[in-house]
Amino acid sequence: MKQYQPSSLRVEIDNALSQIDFSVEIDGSRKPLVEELIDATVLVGGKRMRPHLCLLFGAYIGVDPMELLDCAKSIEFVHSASLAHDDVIDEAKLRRSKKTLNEKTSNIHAVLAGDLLLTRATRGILKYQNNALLEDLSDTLDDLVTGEWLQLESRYRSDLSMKNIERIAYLKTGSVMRWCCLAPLRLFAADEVTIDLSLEWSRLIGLVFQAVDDCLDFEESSGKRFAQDYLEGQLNQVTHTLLQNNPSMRGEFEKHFGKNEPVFPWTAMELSQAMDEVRGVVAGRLSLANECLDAIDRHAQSRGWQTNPEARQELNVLMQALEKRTV
Amino acid sequence: MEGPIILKSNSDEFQKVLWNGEYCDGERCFHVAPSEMIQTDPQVKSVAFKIVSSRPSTLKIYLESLRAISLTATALPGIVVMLLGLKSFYMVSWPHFILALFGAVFMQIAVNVYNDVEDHLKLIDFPGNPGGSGVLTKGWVSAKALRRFGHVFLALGVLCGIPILIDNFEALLLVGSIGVIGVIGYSGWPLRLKYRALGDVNVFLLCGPVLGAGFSLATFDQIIPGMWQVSVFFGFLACGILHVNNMQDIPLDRESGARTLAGELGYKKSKIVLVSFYFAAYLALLHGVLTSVLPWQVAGTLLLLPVIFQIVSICYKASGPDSPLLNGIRIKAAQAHLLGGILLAISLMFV
Repeated sequence: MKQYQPSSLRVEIDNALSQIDFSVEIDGSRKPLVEELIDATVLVGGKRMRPHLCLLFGAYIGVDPMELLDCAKSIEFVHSASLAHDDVIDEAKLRRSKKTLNEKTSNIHAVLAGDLLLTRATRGILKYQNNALLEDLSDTLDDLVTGEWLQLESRYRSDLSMKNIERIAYLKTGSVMRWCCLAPLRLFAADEVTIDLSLEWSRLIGLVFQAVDDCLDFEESSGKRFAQDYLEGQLNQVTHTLLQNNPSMRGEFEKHFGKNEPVFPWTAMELSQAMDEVRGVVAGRLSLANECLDAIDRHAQSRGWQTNPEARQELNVLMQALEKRTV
Repeated sequence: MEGPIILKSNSDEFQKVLWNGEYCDGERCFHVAPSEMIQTDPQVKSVAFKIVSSRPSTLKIYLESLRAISLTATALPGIVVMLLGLKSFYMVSWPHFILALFGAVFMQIAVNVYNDVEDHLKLIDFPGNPGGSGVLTKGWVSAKALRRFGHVFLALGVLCGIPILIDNFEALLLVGSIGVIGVIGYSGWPLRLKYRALGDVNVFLLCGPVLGAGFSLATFDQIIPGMWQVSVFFGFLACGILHVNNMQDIPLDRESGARTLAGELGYKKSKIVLVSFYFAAYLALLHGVLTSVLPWQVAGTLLLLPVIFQIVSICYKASGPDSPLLNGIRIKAAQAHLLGGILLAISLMFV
């Protein structure tokens, strides 16, 4: 297999990313210093996948990564705020092997810290004085809240449809991915068609990301508890497929679902088959996502501009990495 | 063959594949089903088709396409109208009643099947969506074959109606014509009532007054007292089924351009409409009792209220059309219709 060589664009994006200070500026005299707490919990140790995607997609359509630094930072802040709030809802004690904010302080502190991150994210976007960017931020927050709300309603329910599961995935994961693409498109003042095609790409990527996450829920290498979603009463794509493939399992499944008991009603073979099916859907979606990028390339040419071929190659690498990721 | 098959929705090939449920790549042909709508072309949406590796037996496919659970919606009103007349000592024409019963059920099968076909062709039903019997979204059968199946039941329904029509031509011609127009026009050309926010009215008439009048005329050769009230009761319960269905489909229908009452009103107001349907159903029975065309024993249908409260309370608890709390609500609404019919029938037996 051909070894991929880091391109000059990748170096450029990495440099740009390294210029972003992903810490919260100290502002005010709140004790304990909420900013320090945030820096030491939700903002620490992340892969910065979303800021990277924002800069990369920007490069793809011809926006200088340096112009997107505040956007990328805001996106990471919103993502981190959602993690802070998520940990409260899930009563999580650990994130990335470190104590969560709510565990270190209290639920109230964690909620307030998340809120603070959202205000800082808004401030970052305000610097651009671009209403469309602000609208996108608002839409993303709206979707994140709706997604979380739907997830609460779906907890302990094993009768979810794939549509339910994918809708939550889109709102909770895909909405931020969508914003990563929309932000550069707004700065580029892209036409409607480019926006539509990019939205379609980001939707597919968001769904892929979540589906892979659902598979990783059953991989020892992921560093998470085996079948964590099942133990916490959250049906995911793999467990949904398991139930679809083996209807007779439902009774036993429901007996232990969400009870935090490591009793698993499936066999290794059944689990592996379900995971293969979900991975098959992932592969199909990636192929569709590739079609979307081809369509953007064609459309750009027809409008007299060109997408960046190096960035396109990097996006392909990113898509492969999403599919193959192990954490 | 690797990866999904992607076809532009305005291409001839797409129409052919959607209609025949089969894709040929030059060497081999595959059974396929649409799996996802995507936009890979600025001007037109594309549809990704997945290959269907296996299909169940033909019998299972067609049995599933009937949506048997929904068939009580036509059978029960007929039985109740027959009991109502019987208890009032009207002369029952048993052959006509049996023919009308089968005719109505066959007609409903035709509606169910045509509806599946139209939603498939209009790209409303995709895998994972709650609507339809699922035989087309799973790629078990082609739209072409399923529509033929629908034609068979429409023909059977009409055939059942002919002997009754001969005996009571004028009255039944009117009722029968409205019925046939409603059946075909629900989702089919040229009326397409379902897509013009008139589905609820159509279902109310077809599953209520038109059905009741048809049964009354066929079985007793006249409109019997109390028929309109029980028909309205059934009509509104049937509207309840359609309405909860449409409440769940609000985003989907809006996206595909299909107009429904729920879609026009939005989720919040639709909840009020649902309550109004159930309220109106009981109001019709109350009117029947107060005007002495129905016996007081129909109060037995009040036993249905806990089920109705459950349906309404789920709708009010759900945050919106996407809420997983709504899963299974259409089954509950169908159960409410079934139970309402059984309770009404039992109540009449005790008169």
